[in-house]
Amino acid sequence: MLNILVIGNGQCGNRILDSINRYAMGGGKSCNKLAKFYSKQRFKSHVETLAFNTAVNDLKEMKFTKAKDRVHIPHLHGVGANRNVGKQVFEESKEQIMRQIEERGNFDIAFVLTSASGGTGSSFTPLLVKEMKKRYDYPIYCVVVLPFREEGTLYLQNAAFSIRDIRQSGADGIILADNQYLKNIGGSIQDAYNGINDMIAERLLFLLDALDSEMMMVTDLGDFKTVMNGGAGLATIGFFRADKEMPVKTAIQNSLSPSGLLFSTNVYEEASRAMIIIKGDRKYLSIDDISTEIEKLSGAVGHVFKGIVVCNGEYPQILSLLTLESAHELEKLYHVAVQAIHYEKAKKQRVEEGVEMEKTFSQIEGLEPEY
Amino acid sequence: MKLKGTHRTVLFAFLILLTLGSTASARTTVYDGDIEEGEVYQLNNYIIEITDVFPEASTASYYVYERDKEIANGLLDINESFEFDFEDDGEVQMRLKSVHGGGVLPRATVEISISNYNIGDLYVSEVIESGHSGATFAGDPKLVIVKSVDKSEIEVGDVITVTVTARTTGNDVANKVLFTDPKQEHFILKETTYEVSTSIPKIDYGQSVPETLVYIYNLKATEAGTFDLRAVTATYTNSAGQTYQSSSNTPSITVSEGNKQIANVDSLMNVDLSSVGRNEKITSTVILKNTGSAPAQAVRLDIMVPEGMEYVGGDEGIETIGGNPRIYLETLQPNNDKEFRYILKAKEVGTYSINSELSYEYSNGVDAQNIKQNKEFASSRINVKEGKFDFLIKNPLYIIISAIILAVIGFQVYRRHREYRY
Repeated sequence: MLNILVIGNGQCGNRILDSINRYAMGGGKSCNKLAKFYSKQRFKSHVETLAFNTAVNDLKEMKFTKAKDRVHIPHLHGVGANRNVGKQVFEESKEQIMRQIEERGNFDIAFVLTSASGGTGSSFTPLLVKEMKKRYDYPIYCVVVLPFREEGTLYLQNAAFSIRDIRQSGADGIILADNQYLKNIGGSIQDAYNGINDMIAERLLFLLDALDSEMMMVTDLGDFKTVMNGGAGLATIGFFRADKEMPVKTAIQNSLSPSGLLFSTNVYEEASRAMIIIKGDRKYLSIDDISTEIEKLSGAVGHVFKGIVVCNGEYPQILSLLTLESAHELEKLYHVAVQAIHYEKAKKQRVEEGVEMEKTFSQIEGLEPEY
Repeated sequence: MKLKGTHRTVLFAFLILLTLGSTASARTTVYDGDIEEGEVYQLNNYIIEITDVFPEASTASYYVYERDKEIANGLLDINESFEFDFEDDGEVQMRLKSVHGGGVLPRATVEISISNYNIGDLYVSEVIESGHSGATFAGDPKLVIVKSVDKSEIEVGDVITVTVTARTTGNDVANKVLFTDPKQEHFILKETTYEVSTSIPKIDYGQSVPETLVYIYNLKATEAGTFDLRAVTATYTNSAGQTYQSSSNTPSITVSEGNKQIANVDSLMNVDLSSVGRNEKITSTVILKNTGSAPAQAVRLDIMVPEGMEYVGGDEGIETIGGNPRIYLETLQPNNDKEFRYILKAKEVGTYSINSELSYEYSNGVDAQNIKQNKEFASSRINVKEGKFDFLIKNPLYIIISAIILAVIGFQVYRRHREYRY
């Protein structure tokens, strides 16, 4: 059995973590709010979850994560999307944070869930990974959520610097999920956020279960590490769950299609390595179909690991993990982020010009009006 | 002569007193004295006439009459006697005791006795000095009373006119006539058109005497059936003061229901369940319906809740008296019905039926007083079984186990709440 640590940093990380815990209780998205009173998380592996946040309200919002796993790092009510403040807070609370991790024991793998754009998550994650890499030798993978492009300049520049810092922190890989790409889920902002969180949670839980499942064709943690080592250290996940009888070939294709991926990429051009995990009833899993599709994919990306989990009575479910050697969408994000940085810089200059205005007012210093 | 007569009267009275109360069969002397030739002795309507007295022959001749009819005659020697039948069963005997010739007219001393007769019935017993022509006889007045009606077949509520007349058909006048007309069942007296005074002093007899009108009044029929009107009775005396009594005929009247109105209220009580568990509720529906032709007033239904059941509540028109529901309606019109619902709770296991007492009154359009009706009803049987949780009471182990399970669940919920509360 694998020992897995999942950490959620900041509001976004906390919510995805809570969603994972909710899915793990069974019932998926429609899991009853009262399930925590009569049920418990059923992970295939030994999974420990930890949520860090400077905003206590974000921690209070979590419903399916135990209180002891919700750690408040006191600093007003958050760091206000300021990564510098966040870094400072982390440094001040580093020992408290690391003690929490230490108390959870030793692990075979760790995932850190975070938004790239917020305050606490984007600033804590690089420093936390760096510190964990210093202390532990297990691989650490970050699941990083990119912001909506229209969310503002601060979030965009945070995302740009945060992703860079995470790469430099020693993380073994970054799995990208893009809010912008996923916003076609529709509905209200809250529904979109919840939908994105649920999508990420469902994929991660599927991955965690698959890594510790008995498979007809095996993929294991070693394969996962190999896949994640490929490319530029960036990856994304595709997923498809058939709700009716359909050829497994179609299901695999759907998992690699834009609607199945968490991040916009042309799989056949940008992917470097891949892992395909197929789950379902034996009668739906045609080896010929699977082989044909895997061959097609490996012909484009190189090596593809495949694992098959047989579950009686279930329609095909496909999870595809893809490492990227290039990410056109990320480049576009950085391009926008640079513009945002310039915009913020220009704004700051204008503020400085405001100091000149102070000089204007100083001309009447010492004078009184005469009537 | 007068003085002699007075003595005879005193003596007669004395003898009457002496013999009063004696048995009818004993012979009683009613006269012992002298009777002059040509005088008579009258006993009620009988006359004993001494026609001739022969002192020399010590004989006397006699004639006996009933009124004017001669019934016997003969010649008696001293100490000889004769008898004749008197009225119904009586027998009169006269014995010649002696004859005397010293006066203006010869006279005979006689003893007259009577047997097998109640002396008290003698209203005349005296010597009539003026002879047979001077005797006065009393007759038997026969008062014929006729009660007639103008209609003999009527409907309830109809009025008949009753006429009562009287006529004396006997051979004497009727004196001090007192009529009595008893109250008539099944009818009420609507109006009296004519009523004779308390007592009629005298009603003459004879064909030429017109009928005497006694009553004219109206009766109203209150009930269906065939009824005989009660007889009018009259008491009266004849000229001798004897008391008589007569009764009228009794006309028969047939009264049909006709237009008499009636209110007929029934209570139909249903329950939604015939079998319930203990502590469960039953809804009962009561329908009060007037199938009669008259409005029912003061309609009251008292529902007797069985001891094993409890009244929980009901419609607005239901009040509670001593734990039992009561329905009260001022008026329930003909062909109308009212529905009420109430709820009972089964408290004890058993079989019950809900009894109810209905009372109401109505006017039938005939009687002055309202007619009151009382009825009793009972619902179908309700079987109360053991409740769902009665087994818990019977076996406390279930409660303990349940409590433990609840406690475990409660502890689990509390523990999880503590685990997840932040």
